[in-house]
Amino acid sequence: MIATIVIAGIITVAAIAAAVKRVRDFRNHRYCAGCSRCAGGMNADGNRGSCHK
Amino acid sequence: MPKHTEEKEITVGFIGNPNCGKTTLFNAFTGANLKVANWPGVTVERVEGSTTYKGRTIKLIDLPGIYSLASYSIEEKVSRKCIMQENIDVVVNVVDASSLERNLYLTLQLLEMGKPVILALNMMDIVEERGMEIDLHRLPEMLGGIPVVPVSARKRTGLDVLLHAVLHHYEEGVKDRVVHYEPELEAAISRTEENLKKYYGELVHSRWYAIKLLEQDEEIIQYYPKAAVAADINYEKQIIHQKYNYIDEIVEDTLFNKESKAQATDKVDKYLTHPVWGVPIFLGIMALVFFLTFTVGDFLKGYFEIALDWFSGAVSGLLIKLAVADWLQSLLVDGIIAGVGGILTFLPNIFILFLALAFLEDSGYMARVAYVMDGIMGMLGLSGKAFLPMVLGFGCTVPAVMATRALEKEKDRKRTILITPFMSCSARLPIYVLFADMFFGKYAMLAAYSLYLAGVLAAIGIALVINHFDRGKTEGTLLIELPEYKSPNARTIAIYVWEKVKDYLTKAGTTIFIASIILWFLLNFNLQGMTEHVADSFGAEIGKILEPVLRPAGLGMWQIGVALISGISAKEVVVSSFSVLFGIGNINSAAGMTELTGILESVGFTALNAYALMIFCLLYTPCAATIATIKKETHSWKWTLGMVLFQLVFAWLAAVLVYQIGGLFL
Repeated sequence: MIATIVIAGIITVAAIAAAVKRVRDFRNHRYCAGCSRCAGGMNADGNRGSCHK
Repeated sequence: MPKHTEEKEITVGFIGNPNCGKTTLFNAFTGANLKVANWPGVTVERVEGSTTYKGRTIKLIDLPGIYSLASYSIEEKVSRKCIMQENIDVVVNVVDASSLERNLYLTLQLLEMGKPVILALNMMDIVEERGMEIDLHRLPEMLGGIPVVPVSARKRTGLDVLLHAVLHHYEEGVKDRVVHYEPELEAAISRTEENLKKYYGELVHSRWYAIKLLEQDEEIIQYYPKAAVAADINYEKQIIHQKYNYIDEIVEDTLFNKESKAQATDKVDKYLTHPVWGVPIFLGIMALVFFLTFTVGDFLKGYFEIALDWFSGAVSGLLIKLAVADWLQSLLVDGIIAGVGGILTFLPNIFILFLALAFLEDSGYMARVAYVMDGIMGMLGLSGKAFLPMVLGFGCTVPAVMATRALEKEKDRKRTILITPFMSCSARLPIYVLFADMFFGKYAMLAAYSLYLAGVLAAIGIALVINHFDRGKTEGTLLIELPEYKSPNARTIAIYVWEKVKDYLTKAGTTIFIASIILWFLLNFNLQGMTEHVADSFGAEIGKILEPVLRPAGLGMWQIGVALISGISAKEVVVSSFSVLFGIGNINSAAGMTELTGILESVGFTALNAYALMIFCLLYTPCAATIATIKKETHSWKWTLGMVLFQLVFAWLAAVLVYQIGGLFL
């Protein structure tokens, strides 16, 4: 019974944390903004996202 | 610091192509004085700083990296506005000496503006390392007598000489006319200059304005509409062409021992960017990428399967030992481990895909794809620029949709956003790997590759139809830098691949974890509480609503309906749903696949049904993160929901066509 409660609690906390992280990541993540300085995300070396991570 | 009030502060504008070392040079001068400021009204940053030389304060302005002074992008507009209107005394044009041909186009445009220009030949150390030589007497001669100063921002050499040149030449303009166009064009320039004088009086940079008017530059036309009437023919192509002819002359006369690497790049480009062979070569390279993804990826995934089997067994044993409730055992083993673990076993395939894409990007090939596709995109009413977001879409649709910001015209942008989700992102790869392996045996790779092609063809087809009904002016000339080919850098590739692998693991630990829990709940509960019969669950009820709709596409099973709905959270969830729905612990293992194939075949699910399912997954509604990004980028729920609905209907039609037409032959 105790093990069930503890594991269920861990899963619940993990699920909430996962949901919060996903939403926060999406809001905060700075994808390449395609500012055209590097032709739509590719710089002179052919790499992309050199200015944004 | 002594202030010399009797002498005016000199303002220097630093300008150059992106990645020419301009900011390194700027930082070498300014050091800790650096400050960042925004231009009013625009989002592009400019950086200001100052330095002193021989008691004179020199204010330095670092402008955005640009390739030309056209008015296509915000950076170009900002830079030229700054040079024309701001109180800039002298322009320091920073040039990557190892890529003279590319950099001199901007130089010639700057010289036409008539402001004092000093050419800072940066990266001279690299030129020397490569065994090349630049004739530093002939080069200034050919550029109208402007000072040419070799510098190395990296090694901090030539910096004082550059400031010395600034001090001595800030009041000198270009001595001679640099580019002499062909007589017809020169006559048109003279005519336009006369018109400018007639309607607007004496202008300081009249030749530059005349050239811009002949290029039909929208911004300059707004300022001088009367003079623009005379310049009714667009001479832009001739002007660009004749400028490049002159650049060829300069390079011929001043650059010696052009290195073998650059010559090798030219040779390779003859084939890779060939107007006819360029596209088939691109398709061949992508086929090789998927071949590696399947063969090497499948070899590696065996180890992941063993680990997952062991982990699943160990957890199960532990839960029994701890006497944990049955429902919780089911949630952990059949829900979370089957769902999340199942997705993790595809990590080797994802790893190989991104390793191959990183190799292509770092070698310099990816930048050529846009160039190669420019012609085809032109036929679709889009520029080659629009293909760059589409290429990014092979990785993830979210940054691909964001990269459409590089397109200036709103209409082109929306069209590209509409078709980009059809490019098969890495999240769809597990679906292809699973179903192609299960139903296509040795032709699995071919089946998966055909889906990537189907995605590209769907995108092109839709763009073609839109262009047929809504013809309009598209983006201007494609101006893209084609870097030299180089051996990919191990560190760059490692960082790139790690970022992607981290994203995948994060997605497995967040979105797929939550989706697995929700799915497990939907499949194990109904209104009466927990049920042992999955066919009575909430999930089954939802799936049964979709069953008749999906039947014409050969997908008339309620489980498929549930998996497809779940897939909207993230496309990989389609696979983890199959794990949870059919209670298969390790779906990607040989045993798991055999079990699932057996279950599906027993209800008449064949290779044709599997192909229709993969087509549907390729084309239907993108994942939640993409939908949110599209809303963010288009600022319209109407447009976003319209697009989602369109893709849903299009996917259904395509799957029905594949299943029904395929059924006639099989």
